[in-house]
Amino acid sequence: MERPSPRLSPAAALGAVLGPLACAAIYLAPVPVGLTYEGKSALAVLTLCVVWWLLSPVALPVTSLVGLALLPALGALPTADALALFGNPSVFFVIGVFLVAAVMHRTGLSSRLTLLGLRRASTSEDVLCWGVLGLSWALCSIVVSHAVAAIMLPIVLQIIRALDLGPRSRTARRLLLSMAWGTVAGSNLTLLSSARATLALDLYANWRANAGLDPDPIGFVAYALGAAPISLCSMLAAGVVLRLMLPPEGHDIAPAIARLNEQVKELGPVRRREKLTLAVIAAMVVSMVTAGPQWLGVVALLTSGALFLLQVLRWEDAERYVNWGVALMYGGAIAVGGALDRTGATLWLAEAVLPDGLGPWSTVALIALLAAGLTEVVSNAAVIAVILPIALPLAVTAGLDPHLLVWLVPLSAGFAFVLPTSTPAMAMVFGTGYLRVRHTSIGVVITFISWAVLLVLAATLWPLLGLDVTPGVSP
Amino acid sequence: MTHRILLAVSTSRYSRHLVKTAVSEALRIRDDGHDVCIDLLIVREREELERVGQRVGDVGFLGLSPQKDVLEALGAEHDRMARRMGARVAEAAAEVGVPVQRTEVDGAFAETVIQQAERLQSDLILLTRADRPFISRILFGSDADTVARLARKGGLGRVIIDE
Repeated sequence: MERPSPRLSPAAALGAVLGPLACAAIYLAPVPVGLTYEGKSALAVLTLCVVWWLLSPVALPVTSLVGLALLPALGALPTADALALFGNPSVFFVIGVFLVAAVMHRTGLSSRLTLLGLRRASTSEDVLCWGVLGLSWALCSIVVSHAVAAIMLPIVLQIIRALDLGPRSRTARRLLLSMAWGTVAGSNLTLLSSARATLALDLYANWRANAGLDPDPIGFVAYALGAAPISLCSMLAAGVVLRLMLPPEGHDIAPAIARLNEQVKELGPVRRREKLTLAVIAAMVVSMVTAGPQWLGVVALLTSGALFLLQVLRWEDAERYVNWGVALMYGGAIAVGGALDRTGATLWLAEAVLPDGLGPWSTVALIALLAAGLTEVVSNAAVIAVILPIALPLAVTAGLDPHLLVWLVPLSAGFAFVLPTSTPAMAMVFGTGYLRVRHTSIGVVITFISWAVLLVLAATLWPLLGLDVTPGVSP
Repeated sequence: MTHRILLAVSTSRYSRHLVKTAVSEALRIRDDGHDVCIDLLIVREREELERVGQRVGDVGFLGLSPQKDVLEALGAEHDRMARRMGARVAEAAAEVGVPVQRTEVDGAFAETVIQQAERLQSDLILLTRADRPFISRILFGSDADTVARLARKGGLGRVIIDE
């Protein structure tokens, strides 16, 4: 496919100028009290990255690479230290996660699972919409959410076509939003659902190492136990709100079922490579559940190796199904976050910009709200890279256990229910032309419900899992 | 001389009210004793779809194959919508005996509308706003306002933006 070359948007052009100007202004400014020269340089780099991640004059991985290069160039870190931060374990885990998504897509296994599930569950228009929501959500437990959205969109559009729904159809809008919000809520399910949780784990590990604290490894099951209930509540809230705001129009869904049956027939009998893929992924999940947290990246890479060895995935597929910029984006983001920690810039920033006297609960609420708001306009990985390094010292100041930020920040950054800029799934459904700006207000409702659920579960469920908000852990 | 109404739509810029307005404007012109024709222009905003595809790649970190799947799915849906809109306009115009000529063009909305208005020597350009947020409209402008400005500057036909 020929790469599209759209013109630079006005926002991107603004970013191209504003980013370097803001970076230069901070770099050339006198060193403030309490901050080192290195810390000021790291803040200058962070500013450039934030502006560019926000306004996107260049692709996200390019911003990360420029940030990485500027760290030694502006004197924030020695070159060897900056580059060493780039090669962290989570990058390899993320590579494995995207290769798993690639093989699920390439073998057609994910489409088969979705079609079979939808066909079986669909008894009415209402159930069909719930089915799209639930399957989109559930598939995210093993496939990265953006890939699930790309797999689900053609299926949902086929259903809309089979039902001959028009551009103002409530049912079409509900089906599309069910797909998008199912994947948005599902992105918070497990470490395999999105790469941002892994990024948070790595930034947290770096912060502990810099603060001289013992390692605090968090495993696959521990993460899922804290995250999945919130993800489930978000999904259910999305379903209920959609049911209320866009009630069924009373369509006969027989044509949609017939179309789903046709698609299942087109897939043919289950092939050997699908069975092999399923077996390898099942083994991966078992290994991740049983192995220690330090083995997650290794398991993901060994799984990828097994998929290549069994010939269910070829290198050409890996090139066609994965944008390898993902490794650069995450490596660079971790390097910038790590530099902020090492230079003490995050501590200074947390003390300088945030109000005094914030209690643990107001800090939790503020961080969650900030991450949820920022994720609407910036890539959620960038949100983690910007907020988490600042939130960790802030948590300590507020008497909050920094351990739980590993859940709090990525989960909040996953509440991307509102704008088409928030996540590819939202861009896709708005790109169909069925949705209008007014529909973003429904997303606002779900974001606030998810935010409230997060706070309630943090107070009630998390302590049962050993994640207590209140006992502070001072470095 | 036949008066020409350019009815410009795209998947995100279409409403039943806009079609009704086009038909009632056509009837008004005919009542004034002129011949009238509706030129239905369906703009397929491929650039917008490509931006979605690019976002799938740049933010979702999916490769060219999933991007292509998404683009094809969206493109097919926009084509279906175009056919549907064309049929609705033809039906509404046929009810009152107004002829409709339909054109489908790939391109950016404002530019395409102006080019077609020049080519067809339209007397009236009718369009509706994409539902862009107010702040975004202030910052980056609105395609509908751009059409109105360029039409005025180029001495083209009157522009009605159906809100």
